[in-house]
Amino acid sequence: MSLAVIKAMIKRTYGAHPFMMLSIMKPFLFVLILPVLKGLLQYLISGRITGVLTLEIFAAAAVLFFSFLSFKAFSVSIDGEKMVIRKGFFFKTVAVIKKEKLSCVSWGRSVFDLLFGSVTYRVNTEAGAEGKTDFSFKLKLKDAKEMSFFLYGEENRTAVRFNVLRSAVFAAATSSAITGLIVGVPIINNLGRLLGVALSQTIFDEINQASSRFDKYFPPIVNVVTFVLIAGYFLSFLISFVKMLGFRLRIGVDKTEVEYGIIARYRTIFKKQAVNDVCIEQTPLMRLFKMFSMRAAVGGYGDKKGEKAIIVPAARHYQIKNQFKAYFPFLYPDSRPIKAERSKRNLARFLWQAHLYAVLDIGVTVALSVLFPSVLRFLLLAGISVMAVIAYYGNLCFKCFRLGKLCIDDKIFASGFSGLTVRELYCEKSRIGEIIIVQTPADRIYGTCKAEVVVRSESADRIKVRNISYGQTMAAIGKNFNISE
Amino acid sequence: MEFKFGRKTLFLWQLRVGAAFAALTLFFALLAAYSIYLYIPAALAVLLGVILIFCYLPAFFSRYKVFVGKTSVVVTRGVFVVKSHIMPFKRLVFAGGYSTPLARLFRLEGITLRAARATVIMPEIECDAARRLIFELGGDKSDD
Repeated sequence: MSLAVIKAMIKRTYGAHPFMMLSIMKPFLFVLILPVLKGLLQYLISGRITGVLTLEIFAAAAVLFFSFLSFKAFSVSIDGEKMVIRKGFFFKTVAVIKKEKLSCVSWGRSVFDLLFGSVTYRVNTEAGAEGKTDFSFKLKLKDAKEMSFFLYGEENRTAVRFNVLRSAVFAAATSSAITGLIVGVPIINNLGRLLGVALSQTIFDEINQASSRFDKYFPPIVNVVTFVLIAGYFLSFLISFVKMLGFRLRIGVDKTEVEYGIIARYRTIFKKQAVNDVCIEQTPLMRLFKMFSMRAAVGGYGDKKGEKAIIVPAARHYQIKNQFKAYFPFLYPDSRPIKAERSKRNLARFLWQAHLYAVLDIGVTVALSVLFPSVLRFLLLAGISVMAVIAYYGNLCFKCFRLGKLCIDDKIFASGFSGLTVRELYCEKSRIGEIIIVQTPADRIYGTCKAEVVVRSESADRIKVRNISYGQTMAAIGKNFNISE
Repeated sequence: MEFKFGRKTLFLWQLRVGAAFAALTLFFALLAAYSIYLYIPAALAVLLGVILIFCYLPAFFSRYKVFVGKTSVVVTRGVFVVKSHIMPFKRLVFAGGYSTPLARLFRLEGITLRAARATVIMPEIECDAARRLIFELGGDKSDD
């Protein structure tokens, strides 16, 4: 009897890990559980409890009781080719999903999961709300391993490891100060409240003191903002770096498995056919290291990640393409690419926006400097910073003029940029959701167009290729999508 | 199969735009009792309305094309900036129709095409043609 037949006959049911009770209680954590914990902490420090109501203790107990009932009512079964998820004590729900309809299963282990021996298991299909896991639950580690085996098996997959430096490059390139601040500020506030210490004020005083040392060179407001942004960026980098450490990729015949994280370990398996498109991207920081990252847009993926799976954190362009040549054949289109015409006139058409922004930046900086001479230093610094971003944007436009391409055959390839990130999009023709051809009056004069390729996905990837030949583009579309005008 | 917009659709939209600008002009003209300068926006509304009704709308509808190919549908529209939407049938989730009391009076019906993460709303065409197009797009072809 083959393994596939055995798997089809198997019927197993798994209960949730008791730690799931805590995740059910999570929404009530700050309202009910934390005040009770705070009261206990106060009692241990000062020997008396203030601010904790008896009602809160009873409410916390009731929440705990209902969480227990929900935990007991939860079960997940593997019944041959089907997966059955049952949940709810008062309001029962049953979901029956065919194995073939699963687009991705992933499991992660946070620090608490490691302590309690549990696993956060996530099941995704192509249906369901955008950017949200369809089913998320806690299982015992042993059960999670067994269930993954029944769902996807353990075939002999080639493992590819990425070293610490590459993880660091990826973390540095994808971190942002805003993310760091969004994550860091609530933690600092809540921790300060829990411990009864003005933690945020202490940190702000420290930043103020440190930034005052640079007042001689830069305006005080610039120093404070820079320090806050650097702190945010550092925090974001740290989170991203720790998360990406130990990145391991296993490529099977029709499945891909991604594993990463040191403290919290995440494991994701998705089917090759669930991949809508792959993007090879280069952020401004990655350009310094001449490296690219590769991600796949998978229908129904992971946990609130917008259906994007990082496949390669950082590598050279040719390395990525060579490595995935066999696995994603659409990385190598067959037809000749349609490119923008290499002429001075066309170059000027690519760069006109950057020129306009530069003139506007100079104009606004000069006007504001005349109107508000008291903040001249700040205005000059802001003007120069904006000019640097515009210069980078101009460089991207130039790169797009040289390397912007569109291939339309059974495999689709488009390269351009989105924001400040250089992007190449590859997919099969059948995955295309829409192609938009835009012709401005200037395009009509010069016989060019802008082609935007939109991939069908829960969170669609799109890319625009500028100023390419209208005739060639329409001919390629007509030939491959059976359109004759 | 190619669909174009007839005189009835143009007339319907000329009526709609005309009514909207007439209301706007009347509003400013009534307010002009308080300040004579409010005749300026009223006059501008008349001018803009005339341009839209007699220049823009005829050009817009004469260039609006819906082409149903073997594997995809192409919607081309725009006067100054021309946009062509090419939607493969495989990715078309559904095609639907909509109509208003005024459009029903002219026996016209509008069409909505929904692909994953993309929507194209087309103006009204003759009811029969609309039904045929909806059937063509939402029926057999999307199941291919």
